This record gives sequence, C-alpha cells and structure tokens, in this order.
Amino acid sequence: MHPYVTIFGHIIGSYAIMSFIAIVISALMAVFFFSKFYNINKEDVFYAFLFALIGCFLGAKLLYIFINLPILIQYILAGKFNDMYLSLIRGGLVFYGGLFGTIFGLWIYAKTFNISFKTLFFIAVPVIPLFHSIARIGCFLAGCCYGIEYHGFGSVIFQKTPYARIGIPLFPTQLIESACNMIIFLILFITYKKFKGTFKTCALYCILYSITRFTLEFFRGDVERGIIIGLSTSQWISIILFIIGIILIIKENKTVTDK
Amino acid sequence: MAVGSLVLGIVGIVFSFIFQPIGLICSIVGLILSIVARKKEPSGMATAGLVCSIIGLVLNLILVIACGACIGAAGAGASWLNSIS
Repeated sequence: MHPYVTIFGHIIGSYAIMSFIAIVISALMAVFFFSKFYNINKEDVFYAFLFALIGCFLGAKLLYIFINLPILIQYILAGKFNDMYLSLIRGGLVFYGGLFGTIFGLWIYAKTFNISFKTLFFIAVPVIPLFHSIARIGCFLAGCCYGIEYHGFGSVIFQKTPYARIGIPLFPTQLIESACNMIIFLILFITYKKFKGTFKTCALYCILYSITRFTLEFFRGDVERGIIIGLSTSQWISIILFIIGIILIIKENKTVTDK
Repeated sequence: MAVGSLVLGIVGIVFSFIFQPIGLICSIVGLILSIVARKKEPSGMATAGLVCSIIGLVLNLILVIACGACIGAAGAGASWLNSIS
C-alpha cells in the first residue's frame, strides 16, 4: 500500500509511524485509565511503560534474529555485511518476542523499584491488544505479514511494497488480525472492572489471541515462517499461550472455590 | 546520573540522524539512567534527561523500524532498501 513516507528528506516506514501512534494511545490508556483501578502512582506506570517498551523492542528483535539466524549467518559467510546490517536492523520484529520482552521489562522495573509486578502486569495486559491492533494496520500499509493468494470478498492487491506479492489478490491477514485484536481489547475493556486483581483478564487474552493467531497463521503467505513439525513458530507459541490461559483460568477458579 | 542521562539523551537525538543503532543504545541507557535518577532524587536535570531520552528513543525507533511484527521478508526488504538508497 504505502510502505514508506518521506518526511524532511528521511524515508520513514509507515509501520514505524503506526507503531508510534499505537505507543502513544497505549501509554495514555495505561497511565490515565487502567491505573485508576489500582493503588499505584501514575508516574510509576509511565516509567514501567517505558521499560516495557524497551523490552518489547529488544524481545521482538531477538526472536526475529533467532528465527532468521540461518539467513544472517549466510550473509556473514558471504561477506555481505551491508545486507546483514539491513536485515538485522530494518528486517523486522516478531510479536511474540515483543510480548515476552514487555513482560520482562515490567518485571525488571518492578524488581528494581520494589513495586508490585502483579499490579503492573494487570495494567499492561489490556493495553497489549490495543497496541497490536493499531500496529497491524502499519503491517497492512507496509505490505508485510501478508496473506495467501485469495480471490474472494475483501481480497487486497498490493501495488507498491517491498514485501508482499505485487499484483496478486491476497487474503487481508493484517486487517483481520487488527480487527480481532480490537475486539479482544474491547472484551478486556468491558470485563476489566469485573476481573480486577485477578489473572482472568490475562487468561482471557491468552486464550482469545492464541486462537486468533493460530488460525490466521494458516492464511499467512509470507515465505519464511520458521516452520517446526508442520507448524510455524508463532503457532507453537500460540499453543503454549493457550495452555497458559487455561491453567490461569483453572487456578483462578480453584482460588475462588477455596475461598 | 542525571547529567549522564541528559548527555546520553542529547547524543541519542543527534545520532538518530546519523547512525540509529548507536542512537538507540544511547537513548535506552539515558532513559534508564534518568528514571533511576528521578526515582532517587527528582531534579530538573533528570527530567531534562528523561525528556531528551524519550525524544531520542522515539526518533531512533521511527527511523530504524522499517517493517515490524513480521517474520521473514528480510532479504526482500534489504535489497529494496539497497535499491532506493
């Protein structure tokens, strides 16, 4: 669609701009809305958000490097250091790496400044699908994370992108994932007060998102998906996330029964 | 610590226009330092460091991230970026 825009002579990725918008909206929601439900300083929430942001970027990049290690090694062996640099820095990010990085960033902040990690975690969970929903629109603009060839209703044809197959109708995986994430966010938003102080919000997110991602992975058309025993890396992580969600629900229900 | 965060924040902003990976590292370190400084003893210098580091981080991230959340497509992206630069 529109992978890049030029601002003051600098080529800037549309994805980066959408990510920036997503960061700002998510920060505002976390600091001014979700933190209201807990006895926590807004400043701490903001700092924790910054730590989570750093963790998110580093985690997403590390998982990307891990998945693309063979390609990066090939670049090094072939002496193509410029290509390796571009792949490494501008190549991409992997959502699940970002998710675990975010949690790690929050944990580091909580441990360093002696703040309840659980509280920070409960505030962060509903913001994740909101951030993801907006960022996925950036994927659509960039033309990455594209779908398989599809000629039915809602198919999209990319004309100007370095990533997707040009001129072929494709399944709009980015837009569908964005819409699903927004629905997940709305569900978490509505149920947030009810599930306050419990892991139910987290469990709900784990279950809903893992199902969404697992299904959508079958419609993804990008070539390198990091396939392990017939399933992509993200599908394996989705299975783990789903199991975590179920365990959390069982644990929460058990706690309620015990009380 | 507050002075360090301010210096790193400014360096981060400057390097965002020259070489983003270094700018990114400076901004991240500056941000952490400024938060630690503000938590220990809030001062104008630490606040300035925090603001500069946030601006540096945002600028570097925006200029570094070409495409996100996607696995693969690195080769295509790299050669395309090579062809336009």
